[in-house]
Amino acid sequence: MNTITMDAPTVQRAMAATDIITWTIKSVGNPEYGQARTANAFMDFDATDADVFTIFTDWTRKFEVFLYDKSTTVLGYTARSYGVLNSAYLGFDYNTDRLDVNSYNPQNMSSRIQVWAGSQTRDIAISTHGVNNPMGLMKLILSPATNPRTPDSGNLSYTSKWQDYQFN
Amino acid sequence: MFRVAAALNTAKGLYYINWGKDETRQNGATKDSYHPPPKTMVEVVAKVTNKYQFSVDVLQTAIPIGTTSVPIRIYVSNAPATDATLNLSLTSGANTNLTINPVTLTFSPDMNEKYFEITIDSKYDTTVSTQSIAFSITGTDRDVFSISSPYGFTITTQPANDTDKNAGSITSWGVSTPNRTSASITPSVD
Repeated sequence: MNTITMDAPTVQRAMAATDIITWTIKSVGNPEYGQARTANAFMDFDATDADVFTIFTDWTRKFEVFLYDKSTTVLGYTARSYGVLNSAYLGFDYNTDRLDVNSYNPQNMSSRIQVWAGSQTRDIAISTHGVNNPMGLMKLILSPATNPRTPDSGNLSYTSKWQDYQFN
Repeated sequence: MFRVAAALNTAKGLYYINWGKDETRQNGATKDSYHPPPKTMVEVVAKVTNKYQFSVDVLQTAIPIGTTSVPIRIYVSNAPATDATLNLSLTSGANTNLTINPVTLTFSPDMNEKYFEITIDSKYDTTVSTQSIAFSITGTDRDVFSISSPYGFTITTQPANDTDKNAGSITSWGVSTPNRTSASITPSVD
């Protein structure tokens, strides 16, 4: 989905019919959420394509793309993009529906859950994304756990007294 | 709906919730329908003294001697993470003719309201027409909670006549024949 333009190479390299350009994109998991991208009206060196950026609602952060020449005579990359120039992005769609917790938005961390030590929050809603998305399952059970990267020493606890984390 | 509780000694900071999911699909569906919710940020704020306050419903009428009050609600917007116990005692000291039941109310997670009753014996001396209950808070999370104390209530003599003493009963609902837009009901009470 990305257009990358390159400066003209200093050494001519004639592409033959047998040359193959291979794009290898590694370690792109099924993302939890993406970044919003909009093209700025001016002074936006890496994101000027307002048409492309409306195709997907969610994008990866920018990354650099290298084009390597694997021939024996020329080693190294023959073209590349930069973090500040001609960056690459991957756009993606959610292949399944989304669920919201407390309407939390991970892009800007709005509507995060706040809890004061020694107390419990009020009831926090878990909902499908948008009012026009009713539950499309017989039953859905969610299970929360503290992320191991932010260990809580067992101090945080989660309860769902009335629904037991079930949608049905 | 769910709730997050942070124990009293939780270090302040940002934590994330990972969500797992278990789908029971509609008949015939072969693929999962939902992403799990994204990792959800939980901001834990260090203990704040008197962060939440218990409220007590006020009795609308005096309690006649020889009766028990309606259950009186004590409630709080956010429950304790572990426990907080309210201890109820008569401000003027123990009185055999006035009973508070129960005298301790323990709030724990997922518990936002509890009730107590005041029983006035018929031998109570009504020249002392006002009494009050003093609250104290104990328990693990006691510092996080506060309550306005004392809680006053009034006591009155028994009504002189039976019609004031006993609950009325409805002898007739007096329902008229309703039409498309209205119906009138005129209950008769004995």
